[in-house]
Parts: sequence; structure tokens; C-alpha cells
Amino acid sequence: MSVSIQAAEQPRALALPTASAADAALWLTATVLLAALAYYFLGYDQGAVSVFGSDTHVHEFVHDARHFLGFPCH
Amino acid sequence: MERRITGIGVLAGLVAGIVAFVYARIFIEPQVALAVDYEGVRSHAESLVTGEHEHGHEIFSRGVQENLGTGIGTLVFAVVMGALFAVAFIVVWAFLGRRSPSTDPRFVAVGLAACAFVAVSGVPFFVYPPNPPAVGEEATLGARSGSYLTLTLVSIGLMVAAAVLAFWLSERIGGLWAVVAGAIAYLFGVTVTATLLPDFAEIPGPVMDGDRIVGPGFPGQVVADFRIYAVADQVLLWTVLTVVFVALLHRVMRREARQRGPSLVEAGI
Ligand SMILES: [Zn+2]
Repeated sequence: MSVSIQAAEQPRALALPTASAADAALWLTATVLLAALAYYFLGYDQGAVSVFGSDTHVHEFVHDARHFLGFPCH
Repeated sequence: MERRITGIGVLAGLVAGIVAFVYARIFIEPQVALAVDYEGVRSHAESLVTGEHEHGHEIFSRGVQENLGTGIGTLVFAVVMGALFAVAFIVVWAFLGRRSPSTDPRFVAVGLAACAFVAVSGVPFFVYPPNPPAVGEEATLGARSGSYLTLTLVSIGLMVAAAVLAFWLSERIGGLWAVVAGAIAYLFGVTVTATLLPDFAEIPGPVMDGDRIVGPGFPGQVVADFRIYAVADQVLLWTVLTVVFVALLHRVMRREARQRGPSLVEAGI
């Protein structure tokens, strides 16, 4: 019994994010979008799809990493 | 708070990326070189059969690709993983920290990292193992990319669903069995997904001229070594990312404890 009371009264080891704040939501969304964009260019652009048409500079540059990071390639 | 933890994730990713690059440069690049050598041998053998000569133009030299390209590619991947990991941690901690404030966030981070490794690298690598250059067919690239991306996204979605299920069950059947149930649900889901997705078996066989072999098939040892090293590279990346993240999180926690005031310390808490 005393254990559970103690646990409830213990101060948090780390502050909680203010997840309700629009500011935090915006920050997290922006981070995810930016990361997704980088992930797309690293693993998928100029392979199966391409936003720059026939250019293959990004593909060729990170080509080896693309192979061993598991992305499908030639 | 969110910004500081995102920063921690990016920094942890950066450190993990550097370590993974050094490993890849030492162990994986020699395998890539062997695969590129085979590519040359094969195109030579094929030109003997067809009488046509085809020379691929390289935009970047092998030296640039295996050093700078590999370095930047690995770093970008690791930083992306670090940033997404931080976002996932913030969301999970916002939930868990509210429900049971006494939970140590460092354990939460380690558990989350284990789940992330399985969902992002472990399962996709198991279903579609990484291949060295010259293995995949150009014609199936679109299908292979689509399948790999689908599997990765479904795997992450299923892991989130399994975690939610485990939390929901933990009050009913206890923590251990809830985790077991979540794991079974995840494994069942990814197995069904993998079964529904197409298979690709494209390791090139020997070059034939009628019944005569004029060029060797792709060296099997290179495929085996490449895959082992690629998996080890991911294990290393996620391990370093987790250790650095937890260490930096510990620093933030200590600073917060100090800011909360010396009164706590004086009271002997
Ligand atoms: Zn390739």
C-alpha cells in the first residue's frame, strides 16, 4: 500500500512535454515531415520515382549507402 | 522540452551515423567493390554473347561514392532515425509519464529503441535482405521499392498498434502477458503482410551462350557477407543511437532536477 502511495507522490524524473500546446504539435509535425523528406531522397528518389526527372545525381552519390541500408536498387 | 529532446535525437543520430559509417567503410565497401568487379566481368561476358558493347557512365567515381557518398548517406539515414526516434519518444513519454510518473524515462527510451529496431530494420531486412550492387533487376526496381516501403510502413504501424494493445491489456492480464500478446499480434501481422507481398529472387546466374557457360554467376559468398555486415551495421547504428540518447537524456534529467530547486535536496529527497 505504502509503495503505491510513494510511487504516486514521487516527482517526475523528466518534465512532460506540453503536448496540448499547438506549438509542440507543430514542432513535432515539422520534424517528422523534414525527416520523411530526407528519407525519401536517400532511399527512393531517382530509383523507382524521381522529382527531378532523369537526373540521377542523388542516387549515384549515396548509391552504396542505399544498398547496405536495405533500400532496393539495381 | 520537445525541442531539447529532438536535439538529443539528432545528436545521437549523428554520433551513431559516424560510427556506422566507419564500420561500413571497413566491412561493407570491400563487398561492394567485389560486386562492382563482378558487374564488369558479367557485362564483358554478355558482350561476348551479344556482340554489343555497353559501357555505363558513372557520374561519381568509385572513390567519391565509397567515401563521401557512403558517409553522407549513412549520416542522413542515422539523423533521420534519430529525429523520428525523438518524436516517438516524446509522444510515448507524454502518455506514459502522465500515467505513471515514477517510470524511468531512460527505460522507456531503451524499450522504444528495441521496438524501433525490430520494426524499422529487423523485420524489413528479414523479409527483403539487403543486396550488393548488380543483384537486382532493373525491371523490378519499382515493384521492389514499393514492396519494401509498404512492408516498412506496415511494420511500423503494426508495432504502434501492438504497443497500444499491450498498454490496454497490461491492466487486465499483467505487464508480462500483455507484452507477450503484443509481440504475438505484431509477429502475426508482419507475417501475413510478408506473405501477401511479392517475392523477389534475383541473384544473377551464370551467363550462358547456348549450353555453354561463358561467365560466372554472382558470387554467393559476397551476398552472404554483404547481408551479415549490413545487419551488423544496423545493430551498431541503433545501439550507439540508444546509448547516446539515454546518456544525453540523463543529463537533461539532472539539470531539471537541479532547476526544480535546492529545497528538494535540502529536504533530503
Ligand atoms: Zn545499385
